[in-house]
Amino acid sequence: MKILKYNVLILFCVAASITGYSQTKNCLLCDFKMPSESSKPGGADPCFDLFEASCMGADGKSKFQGDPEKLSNDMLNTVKEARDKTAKEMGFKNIDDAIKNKLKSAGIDLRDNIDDKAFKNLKNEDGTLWQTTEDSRKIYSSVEQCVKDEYELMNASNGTLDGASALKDLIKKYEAFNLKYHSLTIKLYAKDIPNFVNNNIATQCKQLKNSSHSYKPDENQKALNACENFEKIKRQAIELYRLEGTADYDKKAEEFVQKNIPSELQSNNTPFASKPTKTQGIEKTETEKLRETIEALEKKRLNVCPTLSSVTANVARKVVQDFFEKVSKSKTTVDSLIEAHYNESRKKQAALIFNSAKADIQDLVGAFVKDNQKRGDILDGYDSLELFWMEKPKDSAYSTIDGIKFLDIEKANTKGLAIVEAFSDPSLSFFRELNAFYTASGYERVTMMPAFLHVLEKNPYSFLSVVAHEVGHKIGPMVSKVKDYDLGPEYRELLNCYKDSKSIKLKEVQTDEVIADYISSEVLARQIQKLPSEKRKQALMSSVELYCLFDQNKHHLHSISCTSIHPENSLRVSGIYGSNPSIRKIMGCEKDSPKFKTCGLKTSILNIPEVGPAKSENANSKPKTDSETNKGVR
Amino acid sequence: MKKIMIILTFLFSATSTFAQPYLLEVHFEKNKLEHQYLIKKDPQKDNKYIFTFVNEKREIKNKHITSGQFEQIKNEANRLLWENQYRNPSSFDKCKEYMTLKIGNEKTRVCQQNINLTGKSYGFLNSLHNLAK
Ligand SMILES: [Zn+2]
Repeated sequence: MKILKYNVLILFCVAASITGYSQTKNCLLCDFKMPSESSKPGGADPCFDLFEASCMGADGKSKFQGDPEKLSNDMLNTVKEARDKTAKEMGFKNIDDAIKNKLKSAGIDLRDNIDDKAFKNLKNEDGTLWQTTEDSRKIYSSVEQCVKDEYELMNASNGTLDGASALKDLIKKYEAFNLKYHSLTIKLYAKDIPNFVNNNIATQCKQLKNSSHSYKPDENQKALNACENFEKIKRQAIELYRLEGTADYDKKAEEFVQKNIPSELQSNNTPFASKPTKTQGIEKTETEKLRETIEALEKKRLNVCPTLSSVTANVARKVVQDFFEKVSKSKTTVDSLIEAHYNESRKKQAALIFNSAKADIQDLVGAFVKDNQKRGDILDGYDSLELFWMEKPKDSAYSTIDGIKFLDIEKANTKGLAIVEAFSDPSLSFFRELNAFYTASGYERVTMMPAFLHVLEKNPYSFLSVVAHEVGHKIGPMVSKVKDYDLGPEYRELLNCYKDSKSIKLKEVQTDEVIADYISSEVLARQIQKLPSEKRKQALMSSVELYCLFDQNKHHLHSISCTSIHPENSLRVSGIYGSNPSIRKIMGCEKDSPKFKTCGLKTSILNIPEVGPAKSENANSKPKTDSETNKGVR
Repeated sequence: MKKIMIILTFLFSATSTFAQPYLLEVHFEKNKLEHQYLIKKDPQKDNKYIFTFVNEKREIKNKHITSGQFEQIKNEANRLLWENQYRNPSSFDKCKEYMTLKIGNEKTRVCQQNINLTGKSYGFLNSLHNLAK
């Protein structure tokens, strides 16, 4: 039976397993500074349209233009700094210098005036791998040279070519050109044996097999032999591949490629492959024969630079990836990244927010889950829910190679597996993406990726709403069902409300995310009500700011997340948060939102006065007890 | 519990619809997430390939990529395939699938337990996901 494993993986998450938070009832937000954007005049009144108010300025433009790019750059810069440190430890000036050296050792020289964009793409710094192969010309000197040589050759062949000796000279030029780049290409093929076997031998065999009628066996004997022996050749390639990294591997790999590189297939319509040497019974002249040779060489020439270009691009990518993988695992990189993102002050603040969100959700559960058994299970379950916090691996998790320490999977203990995984990625995506998730099974926990820890410093309000969303997944429809405290019936009416055309027209696939947003909005209501009334609107706008920060379709910060299962940001903010009755109540808004139907669990609407919300001086007054908070349920 | 199993079954049966003519198939599965990336030649256009992304809710998104992009994706996938297939230190008991790669007739399953390779594959999957946007 397939083991059911699933973590509800969502846009936002945070977690840290830290000592129990005992001040749940105190004012969490009172000490948090509001981000400056929330004080700018918004495009609407928060009671009317929370998204417009929070995300759009009075001028109709986003308040946050350029911020996602800045966050993305900040995250990348931290990765670069860590890599630079390791590169220096390895004896290079910095990481770029190290890459250039590694490429040179592999036989790839970079141009002097290197195209910055193409170089960034090679290093996967722009978030999009695989741009065009034209980029090759902009960064590799051999490819640039090939195009220049090709140009000269074409000029030579377009000149006046009278007499056999001029033609013979041209043939020599063609042959020298072909030979030069053929040798270079072979050296490069040898750097990536799996793709040499796949792209050269296997592809040619497939071509021969699929269109056998186009190729005469006697003219393609070498290729046919290779195909007959393909399995044997592949086994040799695998043996060789397993030796990669050993002393004489490069030499052996080049020999292997030299021996097995397929010659060009001669098809029935290849010119000259089977052309008669006589034309209408008359023997061809020497000049005619030479011209035919040139024509054949010219045809071959067409593929030379494009092949070199794609092989160079492929090998360069492999060299950079392999090197980055090594750099990622070095202790210097590991420590540098963990130090940069997981410091003590963040840990303390993240834990405070996480535990506060947990306590508020437990409070909420107390109000709307009437079944004693279910309620007990949920409350107990929350006690053990942890926030993931990355700690530096111990020295024993490393092996030393050439005086440098690298993370060793065999030595890292099981609790450290998430760390090994994060540092096995050459791109170090974990430290670059804006993402967060709740993991339901195994080590049940909430993970806020480092970009969110960055957000935490600038805007703890947003951090709270995301953490609350992730913590809320634990009581979402799907997780509650799997964990045997099915809350489907409890949510039925609320979900029907969201399905309404006057609300967000909830789609079935969005159910879990919408409930998590709703739970987050309840947590916000509980915390914001502890603030003085004049601060509440700004606090709410700060809390939903994160939804303004990124365009769901465009930005490339969060990647393997489930965008399709979230409603549009404006619907999430205005249709869920802005239409939560508890939120509307504490903000002093009218009961019904003018744009969206008000939706909330009837049993959990906060019991606070609708008019004249808490005054400043009462902000830190003794909070209500659970029973006070939950009474007056409609 | 029962309902979840039914959902999974439904997802898997849906998968087979896409099994036939693809040059490259990447199936990623972790936790609740299940993503598929498929590439085939566009018979209508020279040097163009169709890149298909199937998300966790079986919604499909298609886009064109160039032959150069296809080559690079395939090469990177093939390196991962060889590493998993021929350099794996040992097999894993009860392999929990993380990613399945299929290039032509060759297929490999990367297990969740193979954290070195799952970490390495993560960047690859990320790039595919970015390409799907
Ligand atoms: Zn979520």
